[in-house]
Amino acid sequence: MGLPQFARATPLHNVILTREEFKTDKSRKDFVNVSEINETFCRQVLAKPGGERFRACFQCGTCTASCPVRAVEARYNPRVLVKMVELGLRDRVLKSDVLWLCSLCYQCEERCPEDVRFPELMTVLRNMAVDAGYIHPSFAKLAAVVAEQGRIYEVDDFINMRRKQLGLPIVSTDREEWGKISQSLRFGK
Amino acid sequence: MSRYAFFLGCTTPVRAMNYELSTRRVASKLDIELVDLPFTCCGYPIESINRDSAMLMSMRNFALAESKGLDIVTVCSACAGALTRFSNAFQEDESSRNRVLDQLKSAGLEYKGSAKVRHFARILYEDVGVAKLRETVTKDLSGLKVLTHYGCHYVRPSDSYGEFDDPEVPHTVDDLVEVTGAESLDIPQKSVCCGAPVLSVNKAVALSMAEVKLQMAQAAKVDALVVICPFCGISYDRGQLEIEAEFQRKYGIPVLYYPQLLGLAMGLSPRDLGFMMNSVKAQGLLEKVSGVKA
Repeated sequence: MGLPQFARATPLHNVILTREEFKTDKSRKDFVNVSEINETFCRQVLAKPGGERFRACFQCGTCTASCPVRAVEARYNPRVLVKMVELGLRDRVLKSDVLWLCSLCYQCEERCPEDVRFPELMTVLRNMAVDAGYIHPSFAKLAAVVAEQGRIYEVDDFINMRRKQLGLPIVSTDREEWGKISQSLRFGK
Repeated sequence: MSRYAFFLGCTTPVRAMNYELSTRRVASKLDIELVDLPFTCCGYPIESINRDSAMLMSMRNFALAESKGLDIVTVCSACAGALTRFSNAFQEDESSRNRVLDQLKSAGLEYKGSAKVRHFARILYEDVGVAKLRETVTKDLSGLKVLTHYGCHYVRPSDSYGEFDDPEVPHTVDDLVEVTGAESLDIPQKSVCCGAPVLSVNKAVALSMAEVKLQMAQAAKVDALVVICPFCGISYDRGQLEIEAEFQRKYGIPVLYYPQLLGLAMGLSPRDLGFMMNSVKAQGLLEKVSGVKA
């Protein structure tokens, strides 16, 4: 018989499509094409610090119900993301822009009955996405500033002048000192 | 007199100088010496890109504090969270520890693992204590109704923090507020996310997240929101102006950093506490606080 071409998965449509799109879209994006399944993805995630716990997920949805991002953005659904990782949908997960929507607030981690530690899983997935070349542009920009300055905002003369007026100490990065650390930093492969 | 290495983080010294100014003023009133060191980013924003690099960045700061024999105090909840989690990982995970130690060594640094980190609000609560803080209050702020906002990483993940406050129903900042005489309203979801971490990824989502709390504050007719994190402050203060413009709604809710509120109660002037740098003007609140000229 062989495997069917499509395997019906747990509802994925909230991640891939909005409800409205789902009703009208005929592209069957909510189905999992077995050729998409990457069999080693799951094991790779499990092997990373922070990824060890995700297979304990039993899809209760406490994370999604607790999620402040989900509360305002229907496309984002932590429960479904965990399911997608479990299904081995590597490319869909790593290329997805919703991967970068998690605010890392740890509300879901606090409430998860299975101790899945979703924010830590998120960190693992984002790191993998970066290594695969799918860094979100805003993070790429941020990394460039950090690599050079050692901080996420440049402290220019204007800022320091304002600080001086307020009686606050000057803020500056010793480039030489920072350079010794930054040469050990890696922001993607 | 207690001494701490003052970890400002990236955001506070650039975008929340009112928070920094009021913290320094309040600390000096309480005989807490804040020592400035050439710290760099805590690693939090880099964790999403490369966790190992973020951890090294974090530990560089601990090495610096340890070399001066100081523990770290930070005013940013995100910094407190990242520094605490990476410090725990350094203690618990031998392979990460060895890697970090090697990297620090090649930068001419060493770290024995002795430096601790806590949020400034936590130090006020745990070390100074509510009773002693109350003695510093010279101007009772009764009549003010405020809503507290904890900021995610002040209490979560709770296992990293040794569960010093309840992650679902936190109370420490409310207790600190009530020291001043102001009333802290008992409204659920005090530790909801302000949306700031999503701001650069999807602004509409971030602003909608921030608006959730503003709606609560408006419904409760509070005089101010009280925050303890520069990201939360920016989301609700500067973000409020953007929300008002973007969504055509009016809030006008002043957003105070806790040291600004405490400072008023200690009799410090609004100018000394950086009120002129608050985006949503707190004129009404300052007039309501008797004896304080706006």
